[in-house]
Amino acid sequence: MEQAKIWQAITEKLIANKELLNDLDQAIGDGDHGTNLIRGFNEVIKDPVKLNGTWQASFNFVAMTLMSKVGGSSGPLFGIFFLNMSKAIKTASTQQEWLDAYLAGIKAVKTLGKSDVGEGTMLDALIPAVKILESNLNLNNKDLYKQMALAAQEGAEATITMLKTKGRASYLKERSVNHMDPGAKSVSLIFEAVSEALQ
Amino acid sequence: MVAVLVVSHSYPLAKAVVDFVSEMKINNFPFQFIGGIEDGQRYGTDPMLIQNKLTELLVDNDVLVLCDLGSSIMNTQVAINFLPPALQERVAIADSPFFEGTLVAVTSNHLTIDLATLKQEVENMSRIAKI
Repeated sequence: MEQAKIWQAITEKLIANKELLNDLDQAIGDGDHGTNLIRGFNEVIKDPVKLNGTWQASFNFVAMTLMSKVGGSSGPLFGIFFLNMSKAIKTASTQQEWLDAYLAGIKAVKTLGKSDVGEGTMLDALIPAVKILESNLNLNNKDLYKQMALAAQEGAEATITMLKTKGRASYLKERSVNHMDPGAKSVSLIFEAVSEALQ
Repeated sequence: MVAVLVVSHSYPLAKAVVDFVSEMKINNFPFQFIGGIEDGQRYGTDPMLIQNKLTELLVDNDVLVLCDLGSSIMNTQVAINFLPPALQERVAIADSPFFEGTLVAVTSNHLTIDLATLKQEVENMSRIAKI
């Protein structure tokens, strides 16, 4: 499938959930997570030519665009994730390469955000999804991404009970509990969009 | 002399901090700010804008950066990583309160101070008790 179609599907999914993402962010942040991320992705899909080269080029373009256009913390975090995926993806022809790329992206997010699983961030959806890939390297994409989307969704839901220790939510201390992290939710929506596009 | 760069999510906030603190500026060094994205019309920070500003300031000076919170820090770190390695060592982010840190950066800056010393001064002095 052409990369531009995948990015289009992701953007449409985020747009359809804009209010949900903003509401989640309103509860524990500054209320613009959906708006910000969508501003970035809308800019991404304006240039299908840049998206339809190699995956390496596609990820690089998405990374640089999100960094410049998003504004909030999801800009540098999603940006550095895709930037490091871009550096690691090479030919994008095997699941092992995809796994290596995802792991490189996760490592960069951990370093930049000084965070890890269990702190109520995007990593809590991302890492469980990538674990599915890690243990299913022979599965076809259609089934694989279905499972990855499920794992990301469960991961996002698990952030509800977590005490948020990173970002603006951390200023709320225990009042951050009982709310889903908007970054984890957007990761789960992204995997959901990819999975649906592949069906 | 070290250049001082203020990075904030908000253009009015960055401008106000720099304007106010400039009243205490005795020595002549570059003291600039970046605030918001889309020409300051929106809250946020942009690593490319920060990188360009750093590149410009680094021609003549090392640079100490004061950030407000969250993504301004992350985006400054990203911007520094985009610089050539030799320039990266000549930029530092102060781990300090935003306003007090900026004030100390300006009052402690002088002709012979180096980046590491200024950073240290900012991080120590900006946390002194007010009451």
